[in-house]
Amino acid sequence: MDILLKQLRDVSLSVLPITILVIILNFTIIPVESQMFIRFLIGAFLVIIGLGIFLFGAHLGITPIGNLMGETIAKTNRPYLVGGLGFLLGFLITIAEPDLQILAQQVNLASGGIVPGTLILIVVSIGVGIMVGIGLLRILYETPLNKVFTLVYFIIFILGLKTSQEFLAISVDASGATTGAMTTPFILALGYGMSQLKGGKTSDEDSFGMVGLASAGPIFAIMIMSIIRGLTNIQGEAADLAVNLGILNPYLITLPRVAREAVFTLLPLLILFLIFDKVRFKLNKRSKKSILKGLLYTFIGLTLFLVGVNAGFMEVGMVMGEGIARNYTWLLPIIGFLLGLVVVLAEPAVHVLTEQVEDVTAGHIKRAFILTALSIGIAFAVCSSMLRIMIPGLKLWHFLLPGFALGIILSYKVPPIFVGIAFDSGGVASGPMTATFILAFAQGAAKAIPTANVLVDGFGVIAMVAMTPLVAIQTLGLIYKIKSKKKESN
Amino acid sequence: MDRLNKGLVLFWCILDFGKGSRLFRLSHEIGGVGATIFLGKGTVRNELLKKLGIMDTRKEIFFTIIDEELEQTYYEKVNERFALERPRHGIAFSMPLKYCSRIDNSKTVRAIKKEGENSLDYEAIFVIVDKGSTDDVLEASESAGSTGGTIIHGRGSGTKEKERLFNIQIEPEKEIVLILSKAEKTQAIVDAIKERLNLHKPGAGIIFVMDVSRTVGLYE
Repeated sequence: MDILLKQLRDVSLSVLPITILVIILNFTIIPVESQMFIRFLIGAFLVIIGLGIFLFGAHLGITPIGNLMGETIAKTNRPYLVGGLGFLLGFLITIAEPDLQILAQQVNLASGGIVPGTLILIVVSIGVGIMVGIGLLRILYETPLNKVFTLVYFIIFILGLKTSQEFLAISVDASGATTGAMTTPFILALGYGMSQLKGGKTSDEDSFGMVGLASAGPIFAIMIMSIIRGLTNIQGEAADLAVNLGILNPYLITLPRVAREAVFTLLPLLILFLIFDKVRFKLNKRSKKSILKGLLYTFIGLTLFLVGVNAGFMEVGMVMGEGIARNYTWLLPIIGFLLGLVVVLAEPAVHVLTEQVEDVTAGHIKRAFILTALSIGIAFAVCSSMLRIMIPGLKLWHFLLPGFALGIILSYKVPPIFVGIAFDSGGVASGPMTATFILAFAQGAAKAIPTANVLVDGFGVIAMVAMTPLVAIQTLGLIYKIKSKKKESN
Repeated sequence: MDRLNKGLVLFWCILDFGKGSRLFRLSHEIGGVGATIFLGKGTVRNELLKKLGIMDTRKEIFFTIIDEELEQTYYEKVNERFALERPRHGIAFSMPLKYCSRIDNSKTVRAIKKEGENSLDYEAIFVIVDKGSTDDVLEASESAGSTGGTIIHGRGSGTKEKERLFNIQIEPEKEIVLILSKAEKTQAIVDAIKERLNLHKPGAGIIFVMDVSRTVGLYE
């Protein structure tokens, strides 16, 4: 039983900081109506329980499946099979991602049907597929990660010059949508399995970087699509929040939708596992049962987590963002900073990533190091996004361009393992908690400030959250390097 | 071959993941020289957890070399801090060492083999070095006649390494190389590795040797 209690304590410690911050805000500067506040507390409870169950499930189900597939692919040792299977896996897990389907619909509506939803789905899935294929081939050939990222982001930069503002925002958002709570642990485990089986000198550092590569896929895929089809101009609006009444009602409305989405995310993974197991893994009954149980927990946990976030957190985020922007505009960056500090702790994939980091480095790079760096990074991301909403002249690329440039430069200066962890953290940090709560907060703030654009500024937050970890984690790597050097010279 | 005239023991402790760094600190407080941790998985005995499908849990395996006189203190202090006598709180055990090149050179002890001691065919050589030096270790040992080695990835805490970040100690990555060698070759292998990796320098790494009572699967 100790294990369950420990898990409960761990997840509570991750979710309580954001909960307490919201409670303090509620009782000091921005009281929300009492029903909404109770809904928030229920939401926080569901998020804790859901996160705990999800992490058990990820540990038992998703991670082993990813590891096994990575090992199987590594065993083929034929470049075309490695690339081909990587493409197939990336494509299949992306096309079923509910967040992406919602985005595709929105783009379809906003473009007045010029961009069909299925086109977006297929284009983005191809983008992820290509990058997962490239990521696995990179592990096979031991190509340094910093060089691959330099090339990828250089191409994105060139394409970005020719892409319209709206499609820039959509491409970044598609990237956030594809690195969901389920796909991220899977892709992490895939790279880990592949590089550990392959072995060799770089196997530890090669265990990371797959998520970073995969989340670059949608960006260039959508950019290329918009350039080829000559799309520039679409109109968009953030979906208006339905007015919620009662305490339990919003939960009852959200539950079936979220449960259905969770099934769709899990389905490709389940089917792929069953096929691979028949053909390759041939697991014994006990292991197979354990993995299937894991997938079931993942489903239950993810559903509870998402219900809690959607029905409890999102609305409070939007109301608070709006209220603070209206009454205490000058406080916006400070509160944004505080929210950023604590929100990333509650991201499911962050737990999976930090555990993998500890496993790969035998506890040398501690969870606390990564979490501290991530917290500071995300705090700056949210804080600067608030400044951008407040100051009309400040544009997203004023932050993104120097940020990514710094990220690329740092990748040549820090120990390689930090490059992989940093680029993965970008995808990991922009998970469901940020995508709902922080996005809602930013959109609420943008609504209250007349000069801000709800659509562009909202998407910008996700882009910032995906960028700052690159700088934060690699700075951590730089400090690590300097500290170890000092030791040698002593 | 160098032998001990003073008893040294290898002290082991297996704890739940996350407690290892606390044990590092405790070990320093007691007066240990340095220690190494690697990760493993432990079984779960609880029926409910098994029903839920939770079969294993992450563990940290800690080991350090200590003077025989300290052994009792270690058991007492570790037990006091981690409540090992209570079920499922971890285990500790210790085993005698045959030879050790200590981190702190002044304490290196050389001894002559005791008369009448039962000499066995094989010995286990453990080498603990910074990550990235394993190729050197294996090359050196092969040049002196070993047939191979096994590498375990871990992290360490030596007396020389005290860098901190966010007020948390940085524990450098280490690699543990296990080589099983014919007893008559042990000295040559140990010397070759010491030479290649400059193990006489403090903080460069350590070697220790243990008796092996039986082996299977080894071939020349």
